[in-house]
Amino acid sequence: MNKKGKRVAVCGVLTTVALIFSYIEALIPIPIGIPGVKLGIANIAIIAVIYIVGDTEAIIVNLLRIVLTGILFGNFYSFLFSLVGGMLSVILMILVKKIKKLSMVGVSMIGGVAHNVGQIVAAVFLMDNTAIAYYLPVLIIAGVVTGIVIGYVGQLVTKRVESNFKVNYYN
Amino acid sequence: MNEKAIHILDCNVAKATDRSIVNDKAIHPLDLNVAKATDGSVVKKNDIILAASFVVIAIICAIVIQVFVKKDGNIAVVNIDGQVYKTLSLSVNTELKIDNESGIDGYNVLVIENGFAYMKDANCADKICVHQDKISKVGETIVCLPHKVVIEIEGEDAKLDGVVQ
Repeated sequence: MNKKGKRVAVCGVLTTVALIFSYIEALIPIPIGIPGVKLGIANIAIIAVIYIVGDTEAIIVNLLRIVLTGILFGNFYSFLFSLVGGMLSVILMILVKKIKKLSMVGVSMIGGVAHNVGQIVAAVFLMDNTAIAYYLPVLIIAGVVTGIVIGYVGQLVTKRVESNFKVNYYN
Repeated sequence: MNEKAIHILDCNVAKATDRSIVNDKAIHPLDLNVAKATDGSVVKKNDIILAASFVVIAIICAIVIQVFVKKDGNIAVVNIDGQVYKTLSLSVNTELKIDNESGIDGYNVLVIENGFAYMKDANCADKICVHQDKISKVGETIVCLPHKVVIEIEGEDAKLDGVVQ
């Protein structure tokens, strides 16, 4: 993406999209005995930022949406889990994308798993309860599944906007 | 990425005419093919390998947790709506009926047998609690959501405030 104004506008739109998805996923209770664990559907907007805008923008947008979601829709614990999981997810996605061995689906899978693992790790430390780690296998699988879905939808989206925005699949 | 490769000279011409379909940099035809590949096909094999590896990791984690990490518990704590209702020792075989007197709308029958706890019967609609596996390790739970009943196993660090014989 070339012009600065365009970049800022797109980031704004995608931050909003991330917020909306965060709101929707806050409505879905996850059948795990820990309040605040989320699926990470907002990653669809984050991965769009990574592929359409850039890496630093993705980190900023991610941080913004985590803070805003925490203020608007979340509680203290969901904010902290989201922070650890979300930042780990975005950083790993950016690094993995640079290795260039995976398609968007693969990058998104890494993001999904990192998001969930990050949440579990944060929960174990914050709640001081190791039993939470028992959910690790389930959440790894959930991360893979959401990653696949988000990656696939992300590919559909970036193909559609290719005519207007330069998509850097290959950075 | 555009559908056509663009010769370097054409790129400069396009820049001069400001056509929006042209990228800022000229793209070598080979790079274009590589870029096209990342749209889906070629790199998909790595994705499948990644997904499979995660599944394997998850399974290994589950096995390790089940065999090595989980500790045997000694008491079963019965929670109703978040409050501790009764604490039962796993070493004593008992059958506990939780019903209207205990404060729930319906009934659950909890059985402690040979160091395991399981839900023998309940009159909730789905009976998920009854179908759940018997539990014995610290942290494991059986939950009856409609009745808000949670049976949780606790271990050595737990304090017994009462034991039902």
